[in-house]
Amino acid sequence: MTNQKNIRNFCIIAHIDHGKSTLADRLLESTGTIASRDMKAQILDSLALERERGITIKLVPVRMNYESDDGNKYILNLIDTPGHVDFAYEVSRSLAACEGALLVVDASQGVEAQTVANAYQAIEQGLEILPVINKIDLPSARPDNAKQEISDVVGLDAGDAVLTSAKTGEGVHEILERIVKDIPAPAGDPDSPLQALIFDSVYDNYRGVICYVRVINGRIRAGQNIMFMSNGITYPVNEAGVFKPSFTPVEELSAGEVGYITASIKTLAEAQVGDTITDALNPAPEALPGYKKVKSVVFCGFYPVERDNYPQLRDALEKLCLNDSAVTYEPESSEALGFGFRCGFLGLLHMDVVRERLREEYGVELVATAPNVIYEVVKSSGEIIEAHRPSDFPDASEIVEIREPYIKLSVFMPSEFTGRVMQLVQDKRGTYKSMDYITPERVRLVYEMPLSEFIVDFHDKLKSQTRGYASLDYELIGLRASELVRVDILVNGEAADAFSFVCHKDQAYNRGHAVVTKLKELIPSQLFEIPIQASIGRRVIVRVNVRALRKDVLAKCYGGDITRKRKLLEKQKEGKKRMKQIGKVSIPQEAFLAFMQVDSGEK
Amino acid sequence: MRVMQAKTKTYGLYVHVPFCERKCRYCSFYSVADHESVIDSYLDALEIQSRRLESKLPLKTLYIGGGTPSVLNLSQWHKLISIINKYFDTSCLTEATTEANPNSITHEHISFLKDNNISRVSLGIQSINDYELTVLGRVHDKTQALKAMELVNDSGLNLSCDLIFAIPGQTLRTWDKSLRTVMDYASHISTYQLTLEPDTPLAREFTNEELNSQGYALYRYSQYILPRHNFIQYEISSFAKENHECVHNLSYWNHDNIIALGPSAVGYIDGIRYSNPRTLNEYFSAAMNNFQDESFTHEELSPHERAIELAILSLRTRYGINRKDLLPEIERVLDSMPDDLFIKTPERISLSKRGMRLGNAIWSELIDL
Repeated sequence: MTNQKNIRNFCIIAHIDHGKSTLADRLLESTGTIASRDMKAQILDSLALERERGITIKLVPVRMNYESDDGNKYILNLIDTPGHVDFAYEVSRSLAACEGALLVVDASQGVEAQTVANAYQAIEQGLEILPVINKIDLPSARPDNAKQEISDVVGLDAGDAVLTSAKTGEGVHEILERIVKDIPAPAGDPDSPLQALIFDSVYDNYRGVICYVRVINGRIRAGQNIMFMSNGITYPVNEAGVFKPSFTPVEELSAGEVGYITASIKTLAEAQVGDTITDALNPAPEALPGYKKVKSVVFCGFYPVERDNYPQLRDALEKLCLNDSAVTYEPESSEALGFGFRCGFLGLLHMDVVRERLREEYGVELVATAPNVIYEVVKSSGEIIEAHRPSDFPDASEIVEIREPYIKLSVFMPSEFTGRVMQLVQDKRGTYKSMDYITPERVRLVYEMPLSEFIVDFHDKLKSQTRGYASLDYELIGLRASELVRVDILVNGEAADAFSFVCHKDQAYNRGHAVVTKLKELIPSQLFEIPIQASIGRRVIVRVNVRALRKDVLAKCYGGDITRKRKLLEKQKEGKKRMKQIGKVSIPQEAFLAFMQVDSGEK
Repeated sequence: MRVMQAKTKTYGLYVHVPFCERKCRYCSFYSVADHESVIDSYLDALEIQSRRLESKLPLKTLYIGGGTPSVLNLSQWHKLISIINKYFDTSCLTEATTEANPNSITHEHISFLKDNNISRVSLGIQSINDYELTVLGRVHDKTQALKAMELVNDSGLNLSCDLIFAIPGQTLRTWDKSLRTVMDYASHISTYQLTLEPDTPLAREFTNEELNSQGYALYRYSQYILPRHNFIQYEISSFAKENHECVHNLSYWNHDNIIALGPSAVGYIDGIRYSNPRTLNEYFSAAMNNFQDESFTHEELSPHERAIELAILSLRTRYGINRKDLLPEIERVLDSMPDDLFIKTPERISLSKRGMRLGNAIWSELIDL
């Protein structure tokens, strides 16, 4: 039986490469949770993608035993927060399971955009924040500047920040001491009706869904009948346990403790992050606050590389969704790519993660189309429809208003890049909100901009404009009316749906021009001249012509040439069959692919 | 309306002479350069193949091509002609052509040909520009070309000249010069676009795309200039003065019967196309086995495939195809294409000048209807 007073639940907030994983490993090592000989580098990173990119999306939770300098024995639960804005909702649930947070800042890089956003969330949820300046072993380390930035930018006093090097182990002991001393023990009543917060859940092939829980009030043990408060589904608990970091069963988890439960739950959708578990026979009067169903904001098409592999992709997606309930998918078909799925994600990174998992875990090679967002269209009838693709848009005459998702974007960067970044954001229809100097050399810019502009190539452009020095964070701030138009592309007078797109009316000409020019390059000359037009409704805004074919290679054709010639023609015809006919015009697959900006995952 | 002629069965004969002094840099036809000793064996094998045929088939046309038939010496020529006379009925021969290279043709040769009922000589002139001839890797030069044409002209034999366009470095001016020069001698001109065949030396230096873009203007120019000098374009690559069309070549495009002798030669008999053993060695071993059926590659087209192929081949010529002979699906496709590609009458469809330039694109629509 654990004494509630000796439990500390905390998380680590850090920018992507500021050393969160390494620090977590050090903590495990110094508390003897894992013997150093068993350490593989960054043991808590679970996804191959994470190790590959050297980033950590989410660490596995872990329970450590620690005997402090004053001789008391403590249980320390490290609950990670996903370090990326895509998972902002999960961050808030993870934070809700903790009483304190380590705010890790790189001694040479200073505070980055996402750190601020996550720190604010932690503060908002009443967590005790423990500033940690990491990587002080680096020659470029400027710990005093980093401290100054924490107090200037985040607004926290960082005078007593722990200086550490997770690499050398310096300062790690002090961190442990400060966790015990500064972070409060969990409150909560073990004898009240059960309220346990699901802060994460994973799917296991053998045990079904494993819910990671923080017990706020009450107790939970094997055999108990529990109920999920968002949907009223009940299950008997198979097993309750803690993370050591491997799953280790315990008799009971009581208020203040962090652990897991299994209950033969079939799908993650039944046990969603943020939901409250209570006792089915003695339910709590109300659920813990803050539960919401997460909604996809970024969409793209997934198609098998080989068309025959469609069933394989479908099965893989089904399985993947068992343990990632944030992914949505529905079948769709494309002229260029055949049958596939339109999938919804929390954000771009989430999309990459899912794609990577499909490849790594399910062996599915796929082609992904360029991401897009959902628009909301208000029709003159008053009806509001969701439009996923240009073809979902009603006739222009029926549209009263089109709304699109907007984000608030913060960019942190060295001040010399301010002008370029402002230009970039403005080109992307950003609206200036504020600008302030974090230090004389570093600037924070805040803009509001449409999500659709953000997801295309904003991050890459920002990186190249700032030579990688900028960091960014964003949050969704809802739908806003925009002057959007659907631009149709007509090939030889026939609408080619696959090429139509939605954009702001001021961009319609430029983008229409770009599309028709690209098509002109990609559509081979045919027996007649082919006009390619971009139009808004009936109004043509750009027109180019694909010149009629002038001459083919004409070879001689006697005796043996005839068979050879016929075979050659048959081969050409095969190639032609792979082209899509729009009216009389044959359009090669590359044209569709180019337009979809698909990429098959080789980065 | 023409009166249907009673079809007495006559044949075209194609003899492939697979020897060259040296291989041209663009050529992918079967030929060997090292030949002196093998020509006699080749002629023996040719005789064995001829002997195996039904005796004395009546020939309407004869075409001796290559390779370079003119590398045969006079006694070898003698042998060749005697084989033909021995095994075929040449009494109703209307056209007998032999190919020759400008550098290897001699006065003696020509006299011999003339004495032996050869009516037509096709010279591989290719170009009248020495630089272009070098690029092509031809063995002759301009002077030899002019001399050869004069020789043939003086003999009174009909002269056909082959010219190549879209040679790297060729210009409209040099093309015009080549065309105008051969026009003064020849009654028939074939113009071929340089087509790079895989594994030829020239194909390692250029791509067909590069050459094809250049070919347009030059081909168009031939379509313009040749008719002004009474050379009518009667086929995609063939221009002839009135009554000088190559009857033998027309048989290919009419699906008429052609007998093929010599390695790699292709014949067509009653709807079946057959290829002789491809290399000299294969040809010799087939001869040792008295040319069994297995020595040949046969290709038999279904009536449907044959109809499509015939439509495609007929459309190569200015005579086009009779609507009556067209499969309805072919007629439908042709009618759906732009009008400027065709000359259409109620009875016939043939290609316009522009249609001839775009033959490939038209045929690829027909190929597997």
